Amino acid sequence: MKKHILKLGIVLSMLLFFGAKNLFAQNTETIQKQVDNQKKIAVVGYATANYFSKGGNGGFISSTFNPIFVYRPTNRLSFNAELEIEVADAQEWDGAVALEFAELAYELNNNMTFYAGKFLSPIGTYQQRYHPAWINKSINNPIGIQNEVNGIKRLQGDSEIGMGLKGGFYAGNSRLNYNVYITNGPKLNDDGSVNWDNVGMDNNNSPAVGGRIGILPFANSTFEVGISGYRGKAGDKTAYSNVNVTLFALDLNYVKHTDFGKFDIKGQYNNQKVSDGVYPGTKVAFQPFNNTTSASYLQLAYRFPNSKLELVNRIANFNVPNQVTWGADQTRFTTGLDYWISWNTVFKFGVDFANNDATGIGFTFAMGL
Amino acid sequence: MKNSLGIISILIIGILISINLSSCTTNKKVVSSEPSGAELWANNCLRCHNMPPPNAYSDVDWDAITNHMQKVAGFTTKDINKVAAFLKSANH
Repeated sequence: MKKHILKLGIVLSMLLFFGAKNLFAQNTETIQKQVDNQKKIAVVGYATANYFSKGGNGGFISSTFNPIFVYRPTNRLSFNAELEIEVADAQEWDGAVALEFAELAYELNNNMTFYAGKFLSPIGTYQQRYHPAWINKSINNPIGIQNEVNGIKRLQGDSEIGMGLKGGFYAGNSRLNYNVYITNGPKLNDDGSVNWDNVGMDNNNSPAVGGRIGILPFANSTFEVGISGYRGKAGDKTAYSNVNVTLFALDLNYVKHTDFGKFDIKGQYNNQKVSDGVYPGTKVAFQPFNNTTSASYLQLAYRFPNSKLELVNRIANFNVPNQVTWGADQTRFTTGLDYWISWNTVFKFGVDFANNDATGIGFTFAMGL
Repeated sequence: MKNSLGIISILIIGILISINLSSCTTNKKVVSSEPSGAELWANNCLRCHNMPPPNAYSDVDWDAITNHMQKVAGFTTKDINKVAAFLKSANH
């Protein structure tokens, strides 16, 4: 009898032990799933204070605060938005508020995400990745790609409104990333330039298509090159109904840590072709011309070993048709020295030279949040 | 125009080298382990900005921020989850 009770006791103990273990495992799994699916929200962004002086005139030209809301309600859903609150030239003292991007996304699988809303232009990499002041190492932005000086137009939008697919995948040891999207497309100005802001009803009921593919050939991902393309109908008047805008871009990025310091090379080339035509707002109002414009930059930064100092040099180039009134050919050379107070806070000093513009000197205090 | 051609040339050379290296690595039977979260963090963040220390943000912040960075930099979900797991584990 005692033996039976002992056996029964052992069996019951084992059942209780394994049962409790399974129960505990299930609870842990359930709790982990609940934690993973909890709403996650963070506010990041950046802030800047800027001083610039050119040709004897200078001042504190702007102060900006760009909060970025990153919200992940579930594992697959996300919403990211950036506001730009800026006090700058020709704006009210209390500042102007702009919506830089507001992007809703749904992750379809490991390699693909669907997104829609207002998003930073995926052409090249500067606008998507490097333009925030605490990431951009220079005191200004590359001419024609992000910067507009003396009436020069940008050759891509700051942002686009539409929808697309993006993601990444591996090909052997190499990694690739991609982004394809459709938007309302650009509008055409009378002077033959392009207006990239096109929210609301599409001016020609013909969406534009764009995309970029980036290749990271090394397993350590320190080197990336990208190719971008974009094509869309721009004209909305009868005479310009067939005017297209075709944009092509190349970009390059290489970062190398060595015993002698960190080397950082970045570059981008944009080529914008607007259909040849007769545009009344040009110097040759009644003659067609080759309406091709290009902008490019190459930047080399060097950070001294175990130092908070970083040297930055950038050459930027802008080539415009002779017939247009919105800017002239320009080459800018910007050199600067950055002092990194922390990983995301920098004090930048720079000098900006241009072939047809006065030399400028600038300071920027920028902080990532 | 000369400056522009110079910049384009450098970009094209970079792309050609990249394609060549890319094809080399795919043709070879390279036995390599998948990158860890720490390796992905160290190699990729630096390409655009200085590396943030893991304790710069809380675990909840990292979940939201890494998800945002996945969209910006084109990570696979698996890779970005590894980065998030590393940052959170190093945060404690």
